[in-house]
Amino acid sequence: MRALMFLIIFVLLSLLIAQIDAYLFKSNLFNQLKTLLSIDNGSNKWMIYTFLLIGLLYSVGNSVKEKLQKLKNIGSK
Amino acid sequence: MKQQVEKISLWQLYILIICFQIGSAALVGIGNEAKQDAWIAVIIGTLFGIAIMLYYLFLLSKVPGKNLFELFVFCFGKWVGKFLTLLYVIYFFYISARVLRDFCELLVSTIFEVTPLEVISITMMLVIVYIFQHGLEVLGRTSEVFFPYVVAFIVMTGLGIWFSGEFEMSNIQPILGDGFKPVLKALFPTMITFPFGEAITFMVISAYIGTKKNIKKVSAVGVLTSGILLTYGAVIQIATLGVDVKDRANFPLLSASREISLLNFIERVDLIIVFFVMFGIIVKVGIFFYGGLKGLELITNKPYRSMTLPMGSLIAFFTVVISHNFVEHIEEGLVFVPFYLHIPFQFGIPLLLLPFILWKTRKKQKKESSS
Repeated sequence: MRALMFLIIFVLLSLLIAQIDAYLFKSNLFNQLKTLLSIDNGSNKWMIYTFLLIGLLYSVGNSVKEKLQKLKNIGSK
Repeated sequence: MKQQVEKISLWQLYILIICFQIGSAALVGIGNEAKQDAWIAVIIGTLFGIAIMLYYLFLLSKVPGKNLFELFVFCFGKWVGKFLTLLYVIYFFYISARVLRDFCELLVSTIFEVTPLEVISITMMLVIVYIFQHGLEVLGRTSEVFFPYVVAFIVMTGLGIWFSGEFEMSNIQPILGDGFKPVLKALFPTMITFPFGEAITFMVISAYIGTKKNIKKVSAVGVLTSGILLTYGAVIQIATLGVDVKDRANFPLLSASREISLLNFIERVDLIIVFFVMFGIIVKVGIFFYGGLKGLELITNKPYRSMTLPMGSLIAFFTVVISHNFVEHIEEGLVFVPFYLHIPFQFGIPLLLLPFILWKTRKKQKKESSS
């Protein structure tokens, strides 16, 4: 559930920000989305992508841990 | 889900309101449309701010013990309530990314000139994640420690400029030279929504106050105090820089503080401004972040503390990609955000909520009295 929420929030916020850019620059939503998520040569965007990946892995790890705990509880009953 | 009990005191609420309202408003300056009458706009805005805060608390008082998101579920049912909660989560996270970007831009352009924005964004977000990993009380207690410094530094900045002889009261004149129109233009919708309408997040926090008795009074006094400090800041900025320079400056209070030169010894006090702005930003981003996390807690039925790091990483990411540069960031904040985000989320939905709350509570009361 946490990993799913992470992805939902990521998609919705990306769409919102791309939509704002599209509104301001009178451009296409998909072009803006592409610009928003692309990593330009020489930029430091890789840092935030790495941090984002840590966040995603953490939420996936938490979800898996919880699922295993649930299965363990069912097994012990 | 095991609910962890979180409680903050009224004093902590008072401090949080002040730091929250001052936060980025002191940094980017407010009321520029009113030119030399910006301070009048701030005073009137404060009165509106008090009314807005009292309205939010009135909504909460109708169904005691519930926060904004629980009110949605109470009024509109589980599915619509959760959908509205998700919208608010997006709104709160988006605004926290915006506020953090303001601060990152300040740091990059003043003290960390060669440090990438990404590093500052990640570091600040890690601090906020750490705070909320330990709960809302930690933010409350931290605010208690730093609050005296914040107020003292704001007051001392004004006095420092005054004693440096850079204070030109003629810059404030003529008072209302162009009538009330520029003041109204500054008020609606910019100042009403930023920073005063942003107090909507306190509809989440106010449910976790230990003593419920004087919440309304304390909140109103909190907004009033922050209004006084913001008015003081506006007067400093206009009197020191003049209208034109203030309008052009990215960070007017910072530019004003650079004028301080006392005894050829006390100079470059802009670092002090960076300090108190940093604390204001941590509180503001933190409160929006907490609001979003509490919304997620309601949607997923999982404790919010398990989501602090993932959501923190999202905010750090969007802080950087939210705009290409500072000019675009400010443009978005003036052209898009107040009209399409602030007004619906700060006024539209809460106003829509009122008839539903009144109807539902009346229905509940009738049911209780008949049984």
